[in-house]
Amino acid sequence: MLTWLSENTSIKEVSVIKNPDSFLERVERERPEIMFIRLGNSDIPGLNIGRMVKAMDQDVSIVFVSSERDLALDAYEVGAYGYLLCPLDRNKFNSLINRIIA
Amino acid sequence: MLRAVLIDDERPALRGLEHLLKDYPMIEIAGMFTNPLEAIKKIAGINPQMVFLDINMPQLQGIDAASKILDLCPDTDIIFITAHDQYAIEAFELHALDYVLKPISKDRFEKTLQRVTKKNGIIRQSLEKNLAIKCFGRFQVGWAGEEPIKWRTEKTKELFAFLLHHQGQEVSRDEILDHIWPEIEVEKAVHQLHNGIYYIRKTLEEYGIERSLAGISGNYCLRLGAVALDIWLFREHITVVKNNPQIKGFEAVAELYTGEYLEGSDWPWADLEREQLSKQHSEAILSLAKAYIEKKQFDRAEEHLLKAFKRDPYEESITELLLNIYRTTGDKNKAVRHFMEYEKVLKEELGIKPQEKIQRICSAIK
Repeated sequence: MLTWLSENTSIKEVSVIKNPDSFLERVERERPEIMFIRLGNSDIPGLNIGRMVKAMDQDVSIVFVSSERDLALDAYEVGAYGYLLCPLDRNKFNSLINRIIA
Repeated sequence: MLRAVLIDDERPALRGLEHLLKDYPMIEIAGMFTNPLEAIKKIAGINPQMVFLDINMPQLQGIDAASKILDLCPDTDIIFITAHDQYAIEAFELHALDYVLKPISKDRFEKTLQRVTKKNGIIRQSLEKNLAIKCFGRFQVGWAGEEPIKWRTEKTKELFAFLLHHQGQEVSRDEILDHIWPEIEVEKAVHQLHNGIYYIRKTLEEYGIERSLAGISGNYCLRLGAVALDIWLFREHITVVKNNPQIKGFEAVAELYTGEYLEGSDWPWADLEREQLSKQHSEAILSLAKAYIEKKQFDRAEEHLLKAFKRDPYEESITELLLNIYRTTGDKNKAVRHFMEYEKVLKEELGIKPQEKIQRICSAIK
């Protein structure tokens, strides 16, 4: 995913953050336009981070990445822009990114 | 207006949706279909901004229907309304705007509509609250019936009023600096401007005003949504009475004009506008008084003229009309009293005497 993103000339900067707290702090400070949140199995924390970020900035585009089909409905509840299933499909990934950027 | 198409093979479901949409006057239902194939035939002609789509339909599955609709109208937003939770992935792949499970709750539907209106840049008027901006008389911004905004400093208030004065237009940085901070050096003034804009944004936000209702964009352009701005209403009524000079319209003008434009402020940039609005108001009052005189409702005419005289005592036609009323009603006392007051104001403020024709009207009253 990092490689795909770095190949896209519209993406200026990519950060990878593992700790949820520092993630929220960074988002508050840097206000990214797009974020990808990896969801684990039946992942409530991941969805909650999405919710908190949305409250901070309504305009942010959140894309959840998951190997679970079941969380897609929750993703809609959060107001996610996209939901990508693992393993990632390059075409679907690019089409989503281009749509966000457009 | 946003056009919506509703597709569900069950008629009660369609009616339910129709009912929910009644709370959203900005959405027009442009078509309702129980057969998705029928909908697909007509969809290009309607070109709706959104389609509410059921998934499980015998003629055609909703996911396939959505992709056909998107082929025909690529900019249309699809909102799935369904009893099935297992298609959300497919919905995301079609970039559907939302996916809502039946039965739909009002709260959940509100969320959907927020997404729709946000995406379409629609300004939603809050039903409970009405943001009122008062420029006639003392400048005030606030929710109707609530304590108005308290500005951090007089300069912040002036800056906001200045942007409001130019609302909808971009105002250059230099223009703002020239008018608001003419006396301090540029570097300092720029700093003040940045701070001022920040405080306005913060103040509006803390007061609970959404950016769509009143927001400042980068190039210092204040954009207003559905707010009750008294000068807008005033101008609207002025236009109305120009084409249709009815008492009702003039009364509305009189009622809106609760004082001079940005009264009590020492803001030279507002002077020209203040004069023009005052002139428009005086003209409207004269027309209103004449209309009442024609109907022989002299007391109504007198009341408006006296109020106008207080605001603008130098305007000769106000006094002339008043004296003419007193001549008609034969009210010598009132005429003399008014004439003396008029004479005094002219003498004290302007050092002149009333025109001869005014004197003649007065002396003609017996």
